[in-house]
Amino acid sequence: MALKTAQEYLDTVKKLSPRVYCGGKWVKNLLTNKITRSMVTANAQMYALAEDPQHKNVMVATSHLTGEPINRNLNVARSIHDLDMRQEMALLTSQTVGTCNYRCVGCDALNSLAATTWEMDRDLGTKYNERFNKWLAFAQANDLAVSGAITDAKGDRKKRPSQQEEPDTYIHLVEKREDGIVVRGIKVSQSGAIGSHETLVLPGGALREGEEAFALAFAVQNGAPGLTYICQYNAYSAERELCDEEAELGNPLYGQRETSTMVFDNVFIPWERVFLCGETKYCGRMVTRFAKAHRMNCGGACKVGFADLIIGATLLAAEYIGVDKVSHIQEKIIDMVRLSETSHACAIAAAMRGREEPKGSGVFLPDDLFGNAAKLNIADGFWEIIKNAGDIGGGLVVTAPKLKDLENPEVGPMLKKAFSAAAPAEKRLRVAKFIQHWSAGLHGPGTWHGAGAPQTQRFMI
Amino acid sequence: MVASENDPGLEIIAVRIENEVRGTYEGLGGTFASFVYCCLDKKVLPGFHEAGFIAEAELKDGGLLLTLSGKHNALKLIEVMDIALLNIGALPKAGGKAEWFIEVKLSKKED
Repeated sequence: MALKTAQEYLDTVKKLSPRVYCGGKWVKNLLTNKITRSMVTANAQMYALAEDPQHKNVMVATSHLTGEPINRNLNVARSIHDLDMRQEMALLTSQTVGTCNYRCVGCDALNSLAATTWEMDRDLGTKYNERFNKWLAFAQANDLAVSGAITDAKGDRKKRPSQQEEPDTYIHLVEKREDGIVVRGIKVSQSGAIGSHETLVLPGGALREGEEAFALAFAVQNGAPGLTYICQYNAYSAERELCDEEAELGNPLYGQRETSTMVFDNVFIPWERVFLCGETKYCGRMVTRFAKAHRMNCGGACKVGFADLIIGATLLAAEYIGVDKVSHIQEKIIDMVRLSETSHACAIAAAMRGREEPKGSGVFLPDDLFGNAAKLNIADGFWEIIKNAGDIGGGLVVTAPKLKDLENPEVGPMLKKAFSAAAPAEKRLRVAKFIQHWSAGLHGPGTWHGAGAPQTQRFMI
Repeated sequence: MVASENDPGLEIIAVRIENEVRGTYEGLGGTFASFVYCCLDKKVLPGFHEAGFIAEAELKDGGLLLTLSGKHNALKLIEVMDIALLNIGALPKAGGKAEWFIEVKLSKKED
């Protein structure tokens, strides 16, 4: 079975019991907790999209290891076409769920691993690529949801990993054993790790000689004892947790974007899952290759999918109050489209100008310049887009009452009188809540920092 | 076709309860080692975070002998092992020769 259905994925999640802490409580069941369920539901949609014949070209690829059809989230790009379909997948998944494709970081991590382990085996005579391919074939055959963990907690930024007072601010080696390694440390801002079967862990940045203990790349089973996930918690988490009806929320089914702090407390990783251990020279390349892929996808295409949703909602909001034909409104909508499609154009260019890296590996990575330009453009552009959405959406975006209040016999008629315009009050409130989800939510800073803060793209350019 | 032609790098783990094989599971190489580390070093059954759930665990004759605390019938133990093995990356797989076995014993103690 190379492709799981959404239901089959959900059936596995019923049995997954990672140690998850959310909003002051231990989560016993990912599917009954409202916050974690939104993440799992979004992930299930990634499986559902691959089942849909309409999206097969984008969502399904052919494994270069087995020749079997696989979910593109587990594909190693082997051509320009693969890169193009990868960025199209980022667009499609964002348009569909309005939140993370939680398999996206894992996908870009495995592409970096495919390239870099091949290079290490060539240069050093190691067996990392062989190991990695076995892991990948297993993940593909079982259509595993794989997340990616890159960002270490990092501690005092003036200090190198080995100089930190608290060594756990970086993932590091505790013990080398005959059958594997034991690791500990903290990765932060991990999108969707809680509802994934496995996580690919990469070094957080370039490392120097003497920092071998921090030079680690591996795959970990997400239910492994010693791993704890502490979920993000914010106003949107509280709103979801406390609301009596999730239909009231801006993105009822799929939520904002759920991340967690991932704590490794002496976790055993068998050698079969270790893809780099001590080779500091290759850490920078591994992270750069990940970033290259992720900036095209997360920066250039994913956020364009979000922008499409925002632009559509903004147009609706304008239509609902009868201003959609007003010239300055149309100008602002055009600006939103310009900003968004410029990034998409850069993502397409990054794919089209992609190339085999390293030569002979068979792995294709996007063009660095266009990928970084895509991310940098959307980092600024996204704020402009949500600014215009808030502008055109009007004060109602932040002043709207509860949707259910419309049904209240005492205040409902007053609210309907107040908010009915060119469309009924209910439609206006729903679209206002949706725009609030974006313009007053987590996605502005999320877009800024996701795939690296803009300073990193400036550095690369 | 690189990975799975000759050596796919997988291993099969059999679960025995009351001397009878009740299930076989396939995982990537090293899955049994991971399971053993959890039970022996961390004293935690994957997927079950409460301390003390493992009453006894020891390696014997190339397999793992496991006793869980509490009163469980064989059916319940199968359910528990199914969850535990999934959480460490092993999936149910019918057939194949098992390289490893886990013998789960019914606890005689009440707690």
